[in-house]
Amino acid sequence: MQKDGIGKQPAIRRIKGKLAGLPAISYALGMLVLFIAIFAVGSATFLTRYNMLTIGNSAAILLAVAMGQVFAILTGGIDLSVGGIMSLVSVVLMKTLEPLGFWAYPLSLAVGIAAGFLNGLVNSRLRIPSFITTLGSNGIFMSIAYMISIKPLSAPSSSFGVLDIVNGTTLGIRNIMLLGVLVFVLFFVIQRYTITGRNIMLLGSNEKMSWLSGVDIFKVRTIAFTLSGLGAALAGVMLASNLYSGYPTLGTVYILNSIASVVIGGTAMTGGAGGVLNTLVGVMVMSVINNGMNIIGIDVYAQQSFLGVLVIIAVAISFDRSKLSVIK
Amino acid sequence: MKKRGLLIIALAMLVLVTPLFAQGGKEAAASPTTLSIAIRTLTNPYQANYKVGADMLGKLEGLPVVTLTCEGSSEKQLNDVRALVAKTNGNVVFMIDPNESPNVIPLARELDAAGVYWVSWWNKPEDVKVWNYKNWVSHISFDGISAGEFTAETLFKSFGYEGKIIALQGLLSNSIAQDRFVGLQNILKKHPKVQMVAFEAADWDRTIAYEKTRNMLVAHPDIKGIWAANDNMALGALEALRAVGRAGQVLVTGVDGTTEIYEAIKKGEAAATVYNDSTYQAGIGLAIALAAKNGELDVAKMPKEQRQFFAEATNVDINNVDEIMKGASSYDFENLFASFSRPMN
Repeated sequence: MQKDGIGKQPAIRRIKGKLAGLPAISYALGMLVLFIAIFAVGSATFLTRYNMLTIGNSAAILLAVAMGQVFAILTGGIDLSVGGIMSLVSVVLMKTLEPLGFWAYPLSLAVGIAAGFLNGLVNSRLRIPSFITTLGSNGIFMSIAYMISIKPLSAPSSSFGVLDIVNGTTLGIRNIMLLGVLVFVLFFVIQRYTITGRNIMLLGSNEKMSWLSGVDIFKVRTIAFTLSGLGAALAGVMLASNLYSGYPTLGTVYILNSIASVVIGGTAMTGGAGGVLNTLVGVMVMSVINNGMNIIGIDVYAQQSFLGVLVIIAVAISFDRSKLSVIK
Repeated sequence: MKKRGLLIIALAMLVLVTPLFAQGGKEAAASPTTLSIAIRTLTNPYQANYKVGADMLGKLEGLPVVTLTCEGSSEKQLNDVRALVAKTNGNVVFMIDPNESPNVIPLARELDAAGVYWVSWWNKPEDVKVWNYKNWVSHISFDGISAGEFTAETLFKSFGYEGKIIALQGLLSNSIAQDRFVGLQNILKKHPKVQMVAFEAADWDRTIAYEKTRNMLVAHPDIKGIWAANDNMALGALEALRAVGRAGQVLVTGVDGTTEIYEAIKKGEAAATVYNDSTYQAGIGLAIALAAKNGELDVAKMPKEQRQFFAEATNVDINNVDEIMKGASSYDFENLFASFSRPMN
């Protein structure tokens, strides 16, 4: 009964067989180069300095939230509350900018970290799946943002100087892009060079094994979600500063976009494989595509389906399913 | 593992950094100026009519038109505008209906830096002034006060300027709701024989308006008219009047210009409404920005009252309702400030 199924090899696996041995990230890099080439041919202005800065600007924000998201996904979980955290953080930042000035930034980040920590606690201590935990907490964070302000909050003109931490330029490069690089380095170091980072990978690839080898899986899970909260908080302050405003639906689109970036980069949704570096490439692919579709003039309503198809193709070619016994 | 990682980082960086040093295409400078509207969506008829107006001006001037819809994301609006500036090498003008009012700040900074002229409609924070930005030509909003005045005047006329009325206000926190109510009060002062015996806030909502009107009708059965701050509430009030069999004897008024209220005007159940014509909004917004771009308007020398102002919308009553329902076939986009009603401080 089962033999029929095994006899038929899916076409995609045959193609994969030929390309076997390449890491998942190379597919994503190939996609990045391909899309840059397509858009560069499609429009003479795609490769201008101005447009590259535009892409870099939006990539920096997506990068921050995706850097957090990838830790949640590496443990085998998912963080659907990044949008709620970004929105909450944006409202807190705009609300406290006038009285606190610069100190509104650390306060807002602390709110995001605390939100992520709570997700981690509920997920690990109450043993509630992260999908449900964060689906619920996303609503809670958004609702708190609504309670702080229903209307969009704008930055008071006296605070424009403070916002230049994000919006200003240093040596001709927008600060937000430099922040993006710093955020990447921070998360890269955490994943590669800390015990926690390695434990997160281990936990995702084999939970039972990591528990048997003495890893405190509750703590590791909590840290992973706290990091996700940090990433979302960083993205939230960057985006709010960029827009000079904060409101309770600000981060909503980033829930799907951050997951898509992680997946396009080749990180397995089941955890344990992939990581920060993959996500960097995934973010670049997403940002280039989002910008390029406008530059070459793809209809706005077609853009969403284009992205949807892309995510599915990305998973099909880059996600290494040979290690999985069951596709959930 | 580590080496491969570093290699990949280097590759990725290279791919993105190389173009920074590339020279942009120069050919775009010679091509015609692009007219662009950045709006919320095309699925809502009011917003979709922005595109009709932009296309109309595009045809008139022989220029290409690009519609950017942000679908409720402020960030998408900003990024799409940036992408179009890049695409056209800055040879573009914009009419923008900001997704949220504070978004005009990053837009203004971005377009100032790029030297791109633009006009905004409806919302901006009060403490942000257009004249602080050299490329932000004008910010325009429809005048709530004159809308409230026109509908009140027409309503009072329907019963001979003598009798009692009730009123339904919009969301009290909205400035447009406050403005329209001020308009009503102005006309009440002009006609001392008209008395407003009750008013309530129905939050722009049809059902709430229905409930509140029913209650007010019990307390004041002898009213001669119902003034409402929008069409939705006016239609709710009309249903309440129908329930007590008084539709047509007591007229209602609204603001917005919906098809339902036009039908009611034709049937003699409503007296007036005010139509916010988004076709005109898009066309005139682009025309003003284009005039600045072509040097016909010197932005630095424009008086402040042309930089931020309230515009008069289209008043609709029984005399012109058929014409309005057919839709205007042409507009005057030459006379840039013809719709000026009063300055915005």
